[in-house]
Amino acid sequence: MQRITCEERPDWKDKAAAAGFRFHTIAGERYWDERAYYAFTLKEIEDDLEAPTAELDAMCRELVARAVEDERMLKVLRIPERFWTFVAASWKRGDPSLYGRFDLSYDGQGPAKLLEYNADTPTSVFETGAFQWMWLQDAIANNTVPRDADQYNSLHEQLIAGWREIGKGGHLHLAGALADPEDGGTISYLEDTARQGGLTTTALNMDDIGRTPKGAFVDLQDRPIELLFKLYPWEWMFREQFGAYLAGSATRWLEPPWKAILSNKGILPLLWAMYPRHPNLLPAHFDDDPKAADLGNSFVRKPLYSREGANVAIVVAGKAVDQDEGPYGAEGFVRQAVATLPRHDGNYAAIGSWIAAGKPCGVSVREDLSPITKNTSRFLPHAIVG
Amino acid sequence: MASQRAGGGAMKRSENVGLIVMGGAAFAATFAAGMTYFAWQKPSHAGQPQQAAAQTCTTRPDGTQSCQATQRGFTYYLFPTWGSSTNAGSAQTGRTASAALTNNARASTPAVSPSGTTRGGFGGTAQSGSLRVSAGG
Repeated sequence: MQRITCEERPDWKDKAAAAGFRFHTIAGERYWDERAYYAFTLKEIEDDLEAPTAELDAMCRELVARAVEDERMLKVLRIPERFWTFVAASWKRGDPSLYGRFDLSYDGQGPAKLLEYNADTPTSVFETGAFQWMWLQDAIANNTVPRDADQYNSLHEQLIAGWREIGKGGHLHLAGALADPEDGGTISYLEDTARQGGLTTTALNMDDIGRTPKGAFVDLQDRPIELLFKLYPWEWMFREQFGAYLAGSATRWLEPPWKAILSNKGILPLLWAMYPRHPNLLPAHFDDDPKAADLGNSFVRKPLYSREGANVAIVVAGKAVDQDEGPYGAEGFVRQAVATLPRHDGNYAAIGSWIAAGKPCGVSVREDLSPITKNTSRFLPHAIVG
Repeated sequence: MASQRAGGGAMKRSENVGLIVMGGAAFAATFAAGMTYFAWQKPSHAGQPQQAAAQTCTTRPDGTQSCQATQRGFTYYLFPTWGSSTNAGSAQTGRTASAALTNNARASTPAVSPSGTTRGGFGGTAQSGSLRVSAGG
């Protein structure tokens, strides 16, 4: 694994605009960054990222299978009790999943380590599935990368395949914060892949979702919502007015309710307990578990529920040396052993390893000057070289 | 079918990434709608008695009316003051944890249309002042 500086395409912003990628720059700060790319060998991709992702997915599914039968697990994950049956029923029905993203620390020298699993609302999907592929095509043409360079990236096809399998030619609603540049763009891209998967689609804001007197969730035209993709987390929906009506609706959800178990950093200590010393796991415990002392006074403290690095603190020798503020943490924290992200040219790099339609299918690389990856951390493309 | 790499072995990249919707026109339409929402302030529903939402009505050929609520929810793209990494001892006070599960996001009263359909029962958390709008991770 190497970081290779390169010339950015002089017209990359025009190409981004033409592709509809308007959030390439966020608040004047670069988000898409092609001043460098990450080069992996095929062996690194296949042995250290692709295969472990499949294994981590299987381990997570085993965790869900256990959790839906064990209220103690649902309790430590702080899933509200009134939704336990709703979540369990989703798993037992076999509700399908479209996608997810495992965040890994990987330096090319040893096994990748799971930092967390974005199982419910992973973003950066357009940059990963489409725009970095477009970059590769140009990079080969202009000799930025070798002519036989490849990229670990079939996310686009897997999304289409997933929609085809899940939607079976029917109608899909997609909901989220459409006015947010990143969320709206992500929804737009997923809508695109759904149409290519043979579905008809309607996009709407979350608060446009209606509920009829008979209990059906409907769109703005009062059309029943049979299949809904939401870029909106389960833990927020559980606490909102319509959360009380989830169990009684006929709507199918993506990601499915059982993903609420996995989109929770509480899975880190649970996985460690299930698979101690697994090469792709880091030691982890709940913050209030006496075993947390095994980690000593250096660890990473993470809220059970948070996003984009908020409220994550890196503690070294008892002192928080880096932390991101935020509003999360009321449900509690976990501690995970420190696995500092590899540093290349002063940049900390985190790997996002994607799974879609049940298959590991791509990686994304995010960089930041700090070791905590945030929403504004830059996205860099990658290539398989050698 | 995966094409072959030089030297053998299936390529690991997408065969073809064709975008249908994600052209500039489609994206511009998305953002045009978003900018309209930014132009006016969403009235706060907190403490207000439940009432029918303002409506936009069109007349069908048979003379009946089709109405839908015009008071759509929208979200501000908030830049979190807590978004940057801080060192220990920062003077920036962390906001009290607006608990993902325990905080009450039910302050807003869902709007009810003449058909009896209630809206606004989802989305309140994203619109609260303590969380970023982006719901992704």
